[in-house]
Amino acid sequence: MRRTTLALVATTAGIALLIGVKALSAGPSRSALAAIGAPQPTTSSHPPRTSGSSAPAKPPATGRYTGSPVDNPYGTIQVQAVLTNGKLTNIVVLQQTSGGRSDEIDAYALPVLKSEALTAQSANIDVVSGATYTSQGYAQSLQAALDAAGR
Amino acid sequence: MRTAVEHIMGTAISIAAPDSVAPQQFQAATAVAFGYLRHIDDVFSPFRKDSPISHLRDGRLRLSDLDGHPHGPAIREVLDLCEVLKQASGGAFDAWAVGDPPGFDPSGAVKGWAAEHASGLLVDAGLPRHALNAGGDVRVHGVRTDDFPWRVGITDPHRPDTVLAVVAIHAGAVATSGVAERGAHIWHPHTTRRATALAQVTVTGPDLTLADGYATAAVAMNDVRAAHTWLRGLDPGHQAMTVDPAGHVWRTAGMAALTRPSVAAAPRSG
Repeated sequence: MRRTTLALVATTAGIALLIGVKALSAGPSRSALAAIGAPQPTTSSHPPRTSGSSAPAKPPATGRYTGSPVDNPYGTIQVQAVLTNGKLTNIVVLQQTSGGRSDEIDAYALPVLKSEALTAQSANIDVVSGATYTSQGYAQSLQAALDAAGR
Repeated sequence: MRTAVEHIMGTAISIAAPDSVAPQQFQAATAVAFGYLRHIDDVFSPFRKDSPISHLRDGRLRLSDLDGHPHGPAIREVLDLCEVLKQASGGAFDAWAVGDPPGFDPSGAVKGWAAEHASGLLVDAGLPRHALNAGGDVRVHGVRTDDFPWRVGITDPHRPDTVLAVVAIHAGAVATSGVAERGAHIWHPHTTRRATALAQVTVTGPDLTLADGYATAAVAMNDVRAAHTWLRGLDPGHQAMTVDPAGHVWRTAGMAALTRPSVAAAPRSG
């Protein structure tokens, strides 16, 4: 069975590094999403700043890579990247804010954070549900990409 | 994965099945499903002036004429479904009050209903494991492969090239209605206003017929609070997720469980 990949896959080190670097980057951000950022669909190397615990450059790796806790105006967030054979297969949120209006913020930020990473890095989905596209709109849809890759 | 796509009902219908199915069997089964959907489009399209549905809308065909009509049974089935959805949604889904001026248009019920039938035809034709995507409304059957569930991405209405969440299911339906692709096209009944309070509603459930109808009904309510209260009270087995125009996501408790990371991260074979 062939796994569908919609975008270039970043290196193992790249993902771990990205989360580490972003987690350590200075300044409070307006949202958890902005604080963490989303991995870019690229194979190029990232800036050589390391978090001290990032993965060695020996792909493909399997394991869990934990980012540093990040404070933002709504609370603290910490994420863990799960890698399987060098591919990002999941992002686990270890800490998130709760209570009050921050619930509303997280309700959007966390799914988006996860989806952005999964779309960019592995997109290992089989089928896509969304508002009905037109026959023309289908050409630009994620489903069209999956259909094309399945052949 | 074997895939096939045909453009029917103004959208694209995608069918996928594991590679373990013989190519000839896949081709034959998908031909049956596509043929059925083309037939349904001929009968139910409101855009074809001579379709039975257009005749019903303009009065050339009366309900009493359906007895003995070649397509009478199918049309009655859809009319019954429309009535069920109207009752279930407190009138928000009203196939008799669509558009301006309000008129009869069962399109909001037909696609999910037809896709559910088409999916059943695929099983009968030898595809016990498959995913059928009718322009964004998804029905999956059987495990995807090796005991792993199908992974259904739900698009972000504000950025349709990304997925907002992933639902992992072995069998069932994931229906999404919204404004992302066609603009506001779902009508709040009787007010001749287009529904815009929610950008997108996704409903999961055991079958696509009701899931699709419920998703459309929730959008048609055109009231976030009312839609959420109603979605929370759907019969067991249905879960929902909504996105409002500002991008806020709301999920039922069961949907949160379906899309939680540990479930969504079910390992996949390479």
